[in-house]
Amino acid sequence: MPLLRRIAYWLKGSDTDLAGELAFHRDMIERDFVQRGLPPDEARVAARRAMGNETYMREESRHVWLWPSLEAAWQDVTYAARSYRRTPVFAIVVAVTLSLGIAATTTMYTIEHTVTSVSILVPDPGSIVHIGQAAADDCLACGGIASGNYVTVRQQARSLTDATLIGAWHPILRGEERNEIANGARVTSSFFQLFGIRPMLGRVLTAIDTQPGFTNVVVVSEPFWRTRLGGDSAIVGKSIMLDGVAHTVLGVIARRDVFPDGAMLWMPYVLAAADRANHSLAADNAFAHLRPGVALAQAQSEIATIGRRIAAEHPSEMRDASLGAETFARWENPGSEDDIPLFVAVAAVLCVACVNLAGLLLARLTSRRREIAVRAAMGATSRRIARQLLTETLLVTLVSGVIGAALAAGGVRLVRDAMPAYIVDALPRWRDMRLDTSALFVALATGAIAGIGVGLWPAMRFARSTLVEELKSGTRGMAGSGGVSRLRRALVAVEIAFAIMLLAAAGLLARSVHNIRAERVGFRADHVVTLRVTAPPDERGAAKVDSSRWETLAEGFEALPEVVQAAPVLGLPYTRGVPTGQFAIDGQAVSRSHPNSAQIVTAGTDYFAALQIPIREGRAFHETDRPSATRVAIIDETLARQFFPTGSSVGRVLVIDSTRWQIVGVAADTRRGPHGTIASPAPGEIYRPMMQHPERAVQFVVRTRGDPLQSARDVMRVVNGFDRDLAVTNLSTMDQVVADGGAPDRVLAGSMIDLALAAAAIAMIGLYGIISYVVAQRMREFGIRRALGAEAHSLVALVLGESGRVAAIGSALGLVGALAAARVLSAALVDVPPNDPVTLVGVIVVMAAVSGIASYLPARRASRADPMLALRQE
Amino acid sequence: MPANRAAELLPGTLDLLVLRTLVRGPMHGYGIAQRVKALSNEVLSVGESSLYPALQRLLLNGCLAAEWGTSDNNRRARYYTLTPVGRRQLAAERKEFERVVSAVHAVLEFA
Repeated sequence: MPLLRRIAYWLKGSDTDLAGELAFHRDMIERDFVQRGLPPDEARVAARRAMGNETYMREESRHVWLWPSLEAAWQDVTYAARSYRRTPVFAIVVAVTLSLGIAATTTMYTIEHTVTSVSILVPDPGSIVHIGQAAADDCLACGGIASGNYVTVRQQARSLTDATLIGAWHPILRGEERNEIANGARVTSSFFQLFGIRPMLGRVLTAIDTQPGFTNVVVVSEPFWRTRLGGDSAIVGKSIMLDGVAHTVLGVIARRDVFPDGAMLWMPYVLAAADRANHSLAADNAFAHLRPGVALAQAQSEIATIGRRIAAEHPSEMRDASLGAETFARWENPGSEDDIPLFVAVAAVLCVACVNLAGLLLARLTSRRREIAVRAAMGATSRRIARQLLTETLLVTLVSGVIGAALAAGGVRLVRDAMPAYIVDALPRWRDMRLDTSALFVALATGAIAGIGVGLWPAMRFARSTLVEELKSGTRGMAGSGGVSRLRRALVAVEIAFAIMLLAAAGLLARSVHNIRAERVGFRADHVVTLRVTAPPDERGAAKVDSSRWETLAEGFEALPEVVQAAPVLGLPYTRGVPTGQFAIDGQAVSRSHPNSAQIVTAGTDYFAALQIPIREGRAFHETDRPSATRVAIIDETLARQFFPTGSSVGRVLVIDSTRWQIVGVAADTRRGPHGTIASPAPGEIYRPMMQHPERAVQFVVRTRGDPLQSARDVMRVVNGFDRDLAVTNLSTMDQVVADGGAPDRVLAGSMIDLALAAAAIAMIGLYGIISYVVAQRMREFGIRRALGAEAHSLVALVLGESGRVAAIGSALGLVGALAAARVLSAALVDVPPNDPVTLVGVIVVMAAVSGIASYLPARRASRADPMLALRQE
Repeated sequence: MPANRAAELLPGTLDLLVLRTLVRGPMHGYGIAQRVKALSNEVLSVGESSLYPALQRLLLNGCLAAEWGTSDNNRRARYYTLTPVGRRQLAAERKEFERVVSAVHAVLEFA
């Protein structure tokens, strides 16, 4: 039967038609009886009797055009709404806790997702693969690829088409006041085709542009075009100065199509002979389309085979490296281990919310056993009862979902707008962050499933249970039979345990963030100006620079009256991109599986003095450590402890890239950044003199007598006077650099704290809800106790004791969980032991207070039980 | 107490009777019940509890149309009219009924 006809029929009001019709019918029968001689009163009664059950008749007739189930569902909803209206506290507690849980998890997931996803929307990310090169047992394709290997893969791989190579390109852009570094990419000709990027103005790069002699062309991004080129609609064909050379603008790429992330400029990547012969320096990224019909596994095995062939041909350059491929989607978001704690925390909060929902529903169901038994006795089938219970759960989940979604949307907006600009700049998608609907759906579904699970279990139980016994048991035993109330207590205990775990993790991170302060980093960050200086590549295009250029500039800074020391450095603490390299110690065997790796810092002569890093043994760098002199190195205490536990390290020789460096000193440890990652704690450091290992781009540290920012202008003047083509970026104070470096940690700690507070709040409300519910159910018992002479305070103690037992069990569980969580977090902690007693005791005290407050109000209510009322009811 | 005991309706015959009663013109529910009773010499009695669901079903299937009108004693009553669909349905059901009855009869006559 067409549904529409039924609904139309229903809407036409046939229910009232039917009622009128039946009334008419009854009147007619009544008239018959009167005509047969019955008195009118008796006739009316007789007519009613003759008609039988009119309601039943109406229902039967109605079922013809309305499915019974549809009607029953509506009945369930109204019934559920009515029953929640009768117990508003329960409804509010459930809605508040569940919506809080949904909001907290959805917000956090949204933020997390925004932070980790960085790339453009590729039409079919599953068919694009990233081809990478990595050490033997490492993540196969996470890394870049050497240009020579890309050439081989492009020529030989049958499973791929449209292969393209992307290289980093940071040209210096000449500005009015100072020069800047632009973020760009060198791309081979199929790049734009592969990613389906079309220009919004002009054209993109094609194969013609990679011909030698035509390469001084550039495609710019929309933001670059708007901010730097004034949004000039006639820009195509004009020139801009990059690295001191005029480049013709070919086209503009819309903001949404920008890839790699943050790129402003794209220029043709012409693979020179040297690039084609490079098999070791995996500095570029290669992407390709899977040929139609080719499975990822096929392409992976083909690329691995090609990799083995290359390794066989170039054993010294490839060493243990292999080639591999993975989908664009996976490459884009490989699942950073550092996000795990937050994900676990999000899941834990969701668990708490669901457990809470389960506990509350269970408490309610236990008290409704009699009602359910009565309904069953009246002829409700067990399916009907189960459906009724499910409807109630779904109703409350839905309401909570709506509230939770609204809260989450507000929360996301709040976090988005409150985030400091320097963090936002590092997160490309941050400004466009929107509530993640799929996360919301998952949170909702989890809540609903938890509710359904809890709702169904008792329904099934009651369906089997003997009705008569339920009815016979009367109003006693309301507080629940053994099994159910044990389960309920267990649920509350689990909630408390989760809350303690999260609170402990948040507390540890908060203490850790507190510890990341300038005075605890191993160097003096005060009174230091820092700036990044980049030289343009010279005519030959190589990054080779005059080895003493930076020391000369440092001397220029030191000539300023307010400057104490100045030094160039590559690998300044708290800056990104500190190079990590492998080394060997002359005379010590190297284990192949665990190659020695350290952060290799290139430092100027006065670096240790400028940052006041103490030299523990040997000496600092001298002006005599020139390119022609013996190559020297300084190691930090971590490495000294690790590799020279017994003897002195001074005088020993390090081998880095088959060059020998003699150790001349041991410097004190410095903190490289806010913390090591979860995956790998910070390794030690090796310092090499700047003159013996010149770099094109360096950071300067300039120690000043007065306020470092006051000296910044003089420092800039020195740079411009030294060489007008140098680019200066990241001009800041070292204090600020340290503070900024701690920002991601503060975000992590802040998020953790928010989540932990949400969990604690949910646990508190949940505990309150359950205890007050149980108290309400036991009011009669308390009344009798009062009547039998129990003091008010002893009743308070009774309730508090009960909740205290649950809290104690929960705390014990939570403590175990907290210790486990802290072990996971330990690498991210700064100067806080994972089993930090201050945090753990603090958390337990807080949670004890919270559960005390949560159960005190219901306990007081219990103590005020009116004995007379109780006895009358009995 | 009526003299004749009302007989149980054979399953499936109610729709047939209702449709047949309405061939002579529009009628309300009470009238249909009365007419069936009268025409069958009080043998067949249509209970209200099965008549009204049947009317709803026939309405929904398009066999009948309903309209509020005024009864002979000046009361508002709902009159049912046979639609062309209803007429076809009646013919089909009648044929089927007769086929079954003659079959039953044939079995009874045997021996």
